[in-house]
Amino acid sequence: MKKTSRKTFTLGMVFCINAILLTGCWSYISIEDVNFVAGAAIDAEKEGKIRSTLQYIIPQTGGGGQSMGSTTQQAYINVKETGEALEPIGWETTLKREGSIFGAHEKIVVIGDKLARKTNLEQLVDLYYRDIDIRGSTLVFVSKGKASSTLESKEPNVIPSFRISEIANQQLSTRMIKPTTLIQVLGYMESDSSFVVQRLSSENGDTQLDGAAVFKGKTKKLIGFFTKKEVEGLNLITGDSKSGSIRAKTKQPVYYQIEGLKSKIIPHVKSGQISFQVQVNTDGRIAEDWKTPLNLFENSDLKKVEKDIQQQIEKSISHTLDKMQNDLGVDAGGFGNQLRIQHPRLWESVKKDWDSQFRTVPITTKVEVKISDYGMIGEKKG
Amino acid sequence: MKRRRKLLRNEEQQIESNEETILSCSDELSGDLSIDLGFIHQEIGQNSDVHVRELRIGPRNIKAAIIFIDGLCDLGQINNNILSSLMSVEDHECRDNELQPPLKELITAHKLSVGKVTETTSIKTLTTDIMIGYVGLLVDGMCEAFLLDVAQAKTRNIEEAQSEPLVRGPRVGFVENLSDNTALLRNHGKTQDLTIARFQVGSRIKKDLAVVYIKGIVNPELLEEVKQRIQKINIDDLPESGYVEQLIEDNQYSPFPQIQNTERPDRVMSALLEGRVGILLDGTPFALIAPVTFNMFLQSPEDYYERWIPGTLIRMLRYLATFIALFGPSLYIAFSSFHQGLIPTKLAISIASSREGVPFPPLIEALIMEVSIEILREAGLRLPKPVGQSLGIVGGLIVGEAAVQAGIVSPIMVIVVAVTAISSFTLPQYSIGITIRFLRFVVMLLSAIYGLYGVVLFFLLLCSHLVKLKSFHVPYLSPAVPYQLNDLKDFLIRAPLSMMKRRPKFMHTQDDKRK
Repeated sequence: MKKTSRKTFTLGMVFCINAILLTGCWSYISIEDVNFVAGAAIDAEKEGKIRSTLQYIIPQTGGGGQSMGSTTQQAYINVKETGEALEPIGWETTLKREGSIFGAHEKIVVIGDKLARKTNLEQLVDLYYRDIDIRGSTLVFVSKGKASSTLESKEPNVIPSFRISEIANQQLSTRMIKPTTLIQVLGYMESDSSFVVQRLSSENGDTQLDGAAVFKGKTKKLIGFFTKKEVEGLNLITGDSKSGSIRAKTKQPVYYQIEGLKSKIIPHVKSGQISFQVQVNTDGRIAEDWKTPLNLFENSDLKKVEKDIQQQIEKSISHTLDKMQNDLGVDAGGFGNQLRIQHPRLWESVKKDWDSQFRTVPITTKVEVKISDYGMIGEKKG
Repeated sequence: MKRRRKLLRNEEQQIESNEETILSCSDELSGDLSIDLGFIHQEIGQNSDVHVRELRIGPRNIKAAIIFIDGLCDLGQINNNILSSLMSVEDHECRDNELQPPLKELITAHKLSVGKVTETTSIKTLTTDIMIGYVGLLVDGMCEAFLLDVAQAKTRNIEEAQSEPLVRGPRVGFVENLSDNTALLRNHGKTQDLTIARFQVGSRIKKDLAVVYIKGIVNPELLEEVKQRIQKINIDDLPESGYVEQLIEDNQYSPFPQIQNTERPDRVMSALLEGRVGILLDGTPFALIAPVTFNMFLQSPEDYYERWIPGTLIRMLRYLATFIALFGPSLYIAFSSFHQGLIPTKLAISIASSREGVPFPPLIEALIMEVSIEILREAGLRLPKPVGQSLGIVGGLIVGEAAVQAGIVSPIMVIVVAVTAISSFTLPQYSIGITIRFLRFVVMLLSAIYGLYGVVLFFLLLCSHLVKLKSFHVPYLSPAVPYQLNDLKDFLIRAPLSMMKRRPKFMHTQDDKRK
């Protein structure tokens, strides 16, 4: 009796110890042995191949913050490799540099415009959705020219990917669009709707956010760009912006600074005829006034400026709409989405061919501007 | 066959009992002083500290002797209240020979001016009681001996509780003397319902033990259980209340203490008012409180002495500190070697750069630091106080700094270990602190094997153990499990005093209203 219970005990212990020893540590990897990828760039290469650039962060040796100031060592390294698709490129990279690729901290993906024009985006970023490491919150960009050059910087202590993602996330100006994440892009692609992605351009190691790239929902290929000016109009339509400035049409510069912006796209359906109204409500202040004949302390002059700004906004919007409807021929402002929400049945019948229908849809704008602050320079007459 | 065996056994028993009576016969005092003194000398005479003083009682000139142990009795009392009055020849009241009271009455009523006098006829009792500090008085011609209580125990002054200091609260701690301690309790809670039941424990070295409770509050079943468990103690000596604790606790394989120990009379008193039972042992300043619940270990009397808002905040802080003390290093190990993706990017980079060049994996790194800090703590504890403090500084600062400089451990590890150590100091009870420190190593190993999954596994295991654990039939995690809404006012938070009008429900007190 005693012997068998001891036997069961020993057997139980063997099982328990095996359970720990044989299964343990299966995903153990030390933090200093992984290569944190900060950002990635994909470019077109000859013979249909693609060229991937991975930006690895190099941990500064000698105890974190202490040596940051003194070293001139670069904080990152761009590892480049070419191949047919992203997966073989990744493995190729591990032959060159020690440590596995770790994508959980990847902030941005930049796609070269050449590649985006000829390759279906869904195929290109497929790996990012299958990989469990890479987050859906990673931002997507399109570059003007080579994507790899946007990941370069002259300042040694700056990691370009982090800088770009921070600029995009802060979204200070109306001249850049709301950052687009991988998961949003997936949503657009799955619903076959057209969308815009922030464009980057790089000059002499300085990368800036420069307009937007428009992708056609059906083909998932890049079809054209918005300039910074047109992005401004787009932002006024969508209301996806917090601040920015608008110049009044005066001889000397007078600038209106947006402090609050609310936009609404209202679809109207009358006997099967679809039309939209864009309502823009904004309030703000006069940020700069180069001593024009206007006196902002006089209400009549203030109204004049408000009217002026209102016209400028309308002009800016209509310019962007014109580009969308006539030049590119795609709905990149989310008009279709509003129609889907307000008139779901109608949407079912038009969604298949929405982009081409959108070309002829009449769109009106209604803008209200309120200047609530014009500084302390000047005086009220009489 | 069977019957015969039974008969045989009966016979044996009879023989045994006969022998006992014979033995007890020889234990009786004979009444002859010189013979009795001879017996006593045989029993305890080999001790150099036994003093026998022969004398003659008063005017009747009766031979007598007192026996006492040097140092255990108050010599002043022996001289003034025993010797001088016994030997006094003045016998004013009893001039008339016929009216003279019998000898025994004369001695107890007229001669001995001592508070506690007991009589015995047994030599055995006489000698054992002499050995614990009584003065034995033998009178020629009497079969009874007197035991006079003039014991003078060597005690120290009442000082502040060393192991549980408070900023605000009574500066009183128990001492080593049991009657002093019970007196302290009586002083602290002046109610006639405070009941003190004495027991004798220890089979060879007899020790007094007091079970204290409040009549009318305590659950009689609990009281009976405590008394039974104490009576079952069978060990030759109990040098400290820790022995009692270990011998009456529910589950000796659990890492968690199931009886609380404290030096503070106010703590014992408030526990008694919650319907708990206190156990005081002679010879130690540590009183025991049973039954205990887990949250009691994380509470300090100060939570109640301060106003309820700071009391609540500090209590929550202590729960947080307990969590850090238990899981700090293991979470660091899990995050830095399994789940780098869960750390904020900038922190991940700074951890990676701080670990750059460290030759050990995080587990070994953590073990090196944790073990060395445990060594430092133990060393600081054993050394004399002033040395201990400087050792802490030398160990903590210099060794830590040097280890980082030498690249053996990473600076972030030092931070983790230091925060963990400091967190564990916030635990108001030393006994739970040891438990948490021990469990920390277990969870560190598990997290190094399984990552966060191991930490969660350990937490589940710990919870299931704690839920099952009971202290004197009271669930260890009450009032959280089993859930008791009303008692939660005094669990994570400390509600205002006016809101806590009832005693804990899980104690099943006789009178649950605090009036």
